[in-house]
Amino acid sequence: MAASGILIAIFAPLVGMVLLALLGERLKTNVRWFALPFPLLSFALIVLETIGHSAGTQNFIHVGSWIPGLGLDFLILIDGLSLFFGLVVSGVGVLIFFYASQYLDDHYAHHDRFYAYLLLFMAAMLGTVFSGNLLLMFVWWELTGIASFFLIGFLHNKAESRAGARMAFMVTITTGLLMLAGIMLVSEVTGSFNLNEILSQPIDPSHSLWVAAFLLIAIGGFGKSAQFPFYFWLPNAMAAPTPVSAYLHSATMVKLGVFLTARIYPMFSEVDLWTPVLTTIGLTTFIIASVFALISHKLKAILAYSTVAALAFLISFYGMAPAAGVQWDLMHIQNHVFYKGCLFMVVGIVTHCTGMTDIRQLGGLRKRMPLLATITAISAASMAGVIVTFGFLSKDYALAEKFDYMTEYGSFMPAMPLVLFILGSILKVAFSLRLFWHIFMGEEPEAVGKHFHAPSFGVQLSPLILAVATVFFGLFPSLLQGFYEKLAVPGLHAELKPNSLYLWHGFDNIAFQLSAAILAIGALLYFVLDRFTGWRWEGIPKAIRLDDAFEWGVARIPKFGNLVNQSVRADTATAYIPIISATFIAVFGAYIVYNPAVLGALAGKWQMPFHEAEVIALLTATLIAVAAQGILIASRWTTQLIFTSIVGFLITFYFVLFRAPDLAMTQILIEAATLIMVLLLLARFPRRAQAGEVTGKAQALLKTSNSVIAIGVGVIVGSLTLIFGLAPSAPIGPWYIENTLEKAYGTNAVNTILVDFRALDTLLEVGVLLIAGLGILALLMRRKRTPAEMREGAHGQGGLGIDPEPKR
Amino acid sequence: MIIILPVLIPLLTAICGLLVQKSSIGRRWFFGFSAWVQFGLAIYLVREAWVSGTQGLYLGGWEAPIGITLVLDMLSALMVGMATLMTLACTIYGFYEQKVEDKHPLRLPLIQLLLVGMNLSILTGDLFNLFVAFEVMLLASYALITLEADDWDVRQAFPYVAINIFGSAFFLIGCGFTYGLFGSLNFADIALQSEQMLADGEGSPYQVELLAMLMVFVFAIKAGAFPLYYWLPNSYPILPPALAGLFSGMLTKVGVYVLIRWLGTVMPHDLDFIYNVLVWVGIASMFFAVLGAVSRNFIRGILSFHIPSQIGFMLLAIGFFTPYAFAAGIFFLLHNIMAKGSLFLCGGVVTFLCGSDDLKKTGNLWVASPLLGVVFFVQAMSLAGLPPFSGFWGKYMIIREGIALGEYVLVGFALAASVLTLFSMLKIWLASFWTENPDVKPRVDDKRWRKMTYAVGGIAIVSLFMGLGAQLFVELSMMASEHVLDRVGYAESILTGREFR
Amino acid sequence: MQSTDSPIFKSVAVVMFFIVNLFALYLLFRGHNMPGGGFIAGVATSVAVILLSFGMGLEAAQKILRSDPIRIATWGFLIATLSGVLPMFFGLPYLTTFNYKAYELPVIGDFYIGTPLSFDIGVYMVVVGVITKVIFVIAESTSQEHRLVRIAESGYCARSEEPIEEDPLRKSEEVPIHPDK
Repeated sequence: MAASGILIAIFAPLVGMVLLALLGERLKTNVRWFALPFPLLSFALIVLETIGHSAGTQNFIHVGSWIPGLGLDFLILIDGLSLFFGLVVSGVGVLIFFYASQYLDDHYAHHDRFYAYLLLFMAAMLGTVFSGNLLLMFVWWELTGIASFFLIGFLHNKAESRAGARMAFMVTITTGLLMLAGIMLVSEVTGSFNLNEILSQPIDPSHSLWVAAFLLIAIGGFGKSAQFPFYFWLPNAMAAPTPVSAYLHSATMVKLGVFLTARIYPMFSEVDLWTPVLTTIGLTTFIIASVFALISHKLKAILAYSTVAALAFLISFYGMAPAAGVQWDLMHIQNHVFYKGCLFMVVGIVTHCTGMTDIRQLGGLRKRMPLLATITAISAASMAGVIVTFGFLSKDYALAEKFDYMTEYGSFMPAMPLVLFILGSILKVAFSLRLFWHIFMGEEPEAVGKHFHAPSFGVQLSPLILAVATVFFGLFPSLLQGFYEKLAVPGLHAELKPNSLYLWHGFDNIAFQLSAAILAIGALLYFVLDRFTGWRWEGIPKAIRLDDAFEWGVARIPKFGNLVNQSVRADTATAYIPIISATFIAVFGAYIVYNPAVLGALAGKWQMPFHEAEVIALLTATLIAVAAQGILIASRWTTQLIFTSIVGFLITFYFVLFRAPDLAMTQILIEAATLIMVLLLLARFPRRAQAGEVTGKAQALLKTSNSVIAIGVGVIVGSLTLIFGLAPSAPIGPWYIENTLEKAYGTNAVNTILVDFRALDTLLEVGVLLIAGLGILALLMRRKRTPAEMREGAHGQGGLGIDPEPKR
Repeated sequence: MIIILPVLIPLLTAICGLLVQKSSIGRRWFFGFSAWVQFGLAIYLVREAWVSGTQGLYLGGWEAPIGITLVLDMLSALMVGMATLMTLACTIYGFYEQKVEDKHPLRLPLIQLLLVGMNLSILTGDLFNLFVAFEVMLLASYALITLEADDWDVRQAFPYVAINIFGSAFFLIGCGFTYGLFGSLNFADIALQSEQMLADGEGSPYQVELLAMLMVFVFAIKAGAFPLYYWLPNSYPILPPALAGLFSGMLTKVGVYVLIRWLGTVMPHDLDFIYNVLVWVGIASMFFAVLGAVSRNFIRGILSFHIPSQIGFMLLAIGFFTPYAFAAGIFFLLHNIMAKGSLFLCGGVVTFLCGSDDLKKTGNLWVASPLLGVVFFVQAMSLAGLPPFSGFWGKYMIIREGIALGEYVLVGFALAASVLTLFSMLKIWLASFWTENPDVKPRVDDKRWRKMTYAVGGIAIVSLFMGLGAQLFVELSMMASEHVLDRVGYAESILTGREFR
Repeated sequence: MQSTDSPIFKSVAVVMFFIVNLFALYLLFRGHNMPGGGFIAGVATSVAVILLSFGMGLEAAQKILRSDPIRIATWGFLIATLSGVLPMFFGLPYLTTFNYKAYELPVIGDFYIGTPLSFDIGVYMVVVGVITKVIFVIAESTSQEHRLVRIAESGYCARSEEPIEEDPLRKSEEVPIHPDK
């Protein structure tokens, strides 16, 4: 049951996606009701699985080998962590699908695609969290990135959507690639991608590859969870429709970094860098993001930065975990899912009803939307950590933990985490208050009323459920104790004390006192800032906006590429052959010069006496070389033609010297035919060429360099010829001469080789001739370009192979 | 006997096509049918190589090293499979590109002749025959590149022709040197002799090394390695998309195939200098070419520059020179043939729909033609190396081998190049598919684009299968790598006529 | 190329045409035993045809060949290809040769008739066809015979293509590239 249930839970949405992609277009907006069953099914199956799960165990289920040759097994891991995340993904999924069904109206086109992407995303998420094989996890992980790309770019006619999608995709994929390198290092050290095998091996935590693996995988997590310095993509990803933001960019996908940290905790927690890296990055991000959340204006940007802050807190939380294991991490995550998912949906409703996205344009909406105001109040309170909400518990336990850390376990600047956490929490209170206050309290600006329409109850249902859950679990947290005990993961979680989850710890509790102080200071901070400064009209300073820097870089890359291209002369057609020849000279020249054995052999060749025949051959060869140089140096093309002919006839003579009558005969006939052809073409040459190319200084330089390169190639090829000696110990050639009559019934070995021994060569060389003839025929007929088309160059119609519409 | 058929069938098809000049539907059917037959045959050859391993065909009954030998092993079978698959797809795609009476009557025969050259280059076991095969292939490509060209295109085609002729000259010189050194041109014979020569202390290692280098230089020109690739990115864009798909997919890859064959099967396995150079040349190609790609603003230009960039990955794999790296390189090669070819074809459909492939003049396609979008996206992501698409597994294997060898710097470069690849693919995606361009009205009413997309989709499905069911292809690549690197086994199974020496 | 006005040159060209052709055939058939063979013979014949076209004009020379030279070349290529296919029906590898000895023929001497000969004839036909066609077309193109170019190119170009040197005078009288339409 276990495996099949989870498998169905993962693949049902995938099937749903395919179905919707194929059939969805006909269903129009009704597609939403066909999409909803899939998350419901997954959720139900995972709930069943959770009920049947025995506490504190990890079940690895080997479903099958996917690509065993690459170490990729379809290994499912069912444990507390995966079940918890599975519940979050599918449970929030149900709420979001319902919310989306109410939220998306006729203003949005392509509902089918929207739900298809969402289902793809959900499947990918479930696949990621249930993977027991790191490589498998990576595959699903990148798939979430792809799904998120499509979802962020859903409104792709807007430039900001496209830019946001690209930014998110580039950042997550790049960091994902680094993570892949880390995963490969893990397998390099342990020999496997399967978590059960990795965990069962004793590993030296100071092994340099292991440390590198940790750092690379951590970067992957930071990228996905938008941690410093990658935090900039998340606010830009908010270009997506709100259900997407609520689902991907608060509740689920961005939590993958947190999930990953928890997942690799048993592997890497003993690495020395674990605490410093995670804590530093986490807490730095926490503060930066909190400040940014406070000074942002777009509703979703505020929430995005607050999400980054929350994720940063969670990552630093794992970073500071005591040796015995972490406690209550799931509670913190659950808390964030509840309030942040809810707030995103609320913000979506506000934007939907008013058409406003900027918090500065809003205010006083409590009268128009009392239910929504209540929901927001609860969730914002939870975000701030006000008592009776779930957020209070979360903050309470976190503070206690940090305090304990400071007093007991601290090895790395013990007080810093606590201080930074308090500071961040104060900011958090301030922006929570601001979010609520600036939307629902104060005066209502005139513009708000103009486009206002009241939200339906249906659209408010999903956030309402989350808000109710926030209060309910805030009041009765002990109900969750058993749940968390059940979901404990060996190697990650410390054992929970029985009945240790309860609301009230008393006044004389340091955590409570700090918590109360944070609330007070945060509220004070907000009101002081609001009353006495104009901060709420300021934005994030341009200089520290990394997303601008990213876009700047993106815009520069093509220009840089062009520059590089120009500087290696890849677009200069006349440079190609000189560059190739120069490469040839450089590579082979260097090899010859730096290899004493080669030089010695060459020197030996020079000292050998010449035969008489060799003298004539050498003379002929020299003449050929001189004539070839003549082609380069001559400025009139007619002179060049004469030199070419001289080269040809000298080569004929050369063949004669080596007693090759067939070759000589063929060569001379070909020379004749070529000459006829060139003379026929005489008339076709442009006047300028007929009169000789314009000669000038640059021309002279070009000629010199060409001449030098030509001589260089000649020298190298000549040296190579000498080096190879051309005297094989047991050549195959004589066999042909001896056996030509006996085996091939002909006395002319050249011809028997041509038509018998190696007939295929001949056949195809004849084919070459035929093809060349066809090519010439094709060249003589051509589509004409008008001067305008000529200027268009590569963009012109020519060669596009399409019929020039619409005539014909 | 059957090994000659991948050469003979396209040859006869081409001749028949030349005898029946007039473009007509029936002629199309004939070529399409032939392409299907060849593809089926290629699959049979793969099975044959799987079952019986390396085997030779002695043309004219002259045993090696007297006559010309054709050799079938897993690598050549797979490459023939890819060549026929790409030809099939590009042929079918080409049918819908233009109306039948507007078609150039020589295109289909020349494609078949190109295939003759490619298949023979892949199957041959003889260096001079390889040269001839290259000549057939290149001549056919010269003819094709100027076939439907206009005034501007012809100018662009010139460097292509000039540089390939230049390279052929070096090839011929290399053939001469090879005969001068070993007295034979048969691959198996050379393999055995070079081994023996080194063992006997006869001949000098630098001779073998220089010869290997010379041929690597030649094949690197054909394959397009830095700085020898310059001819490529400016001449491929002038091809009509159907041909560009075939050229970019297959033609340059034949160069890589020959490189693998030359270094793996023919030459001795201790040429460390060459391997080290290849690795860095690979990295340089990867980078300089991908930077060229991001600087271009039209689809064919971007894709053309990606060819040498991806070749860089293959060179990297070859340079690592381990059996696993070879398998990785072969897997990547197979993937890249399909991915690159189909992307060019997709670019062609974009051009068909929008009337141009200038990124500024395209748009709206994700709304107008989601089918094309899916195909393009799958292949683009595959090219960029995202899981679970085939490109990922290829890159993954190469990178894994790099890590195993401790070449972390190279791995870093390879990853960075992947990011830039992704970036340039997104550039096309955002501009052509997502941007709402009021000036562009995709002509989706002309249903031909669907059929063209189906032809690309066919490759995409194979490619997708290669990603999702990578196991099969991993095994095939492993086997191919095993066959290629087993020099002694190769020589022994081919060289039956040694008493002729 | 226009035909020359000189009657002497004309008759010399015709005589030379036959002499050179005879020599070419001699080269073709003796190729197996002495220097010669299909390729050289083909080039020789082409040179003869070109010579004839100098004397009698392009159209006359083309008429002598009767059909499109490229078709001759293609048929030649087919013959060469198929002469290798034949042994495959007997279970032998492609391009295995069959030889039948014919003794003491005049001029040539001992002689083998078989697939190598048909192969060589195929080669000969390809060489003749390609070289003559190319030279004819280039000659027509450079001498501005656009009507002839269009006829010669029919079947080797697409509908939208035009001769590269379109002369403005003849633009009005459109000759269809595909005569059958």
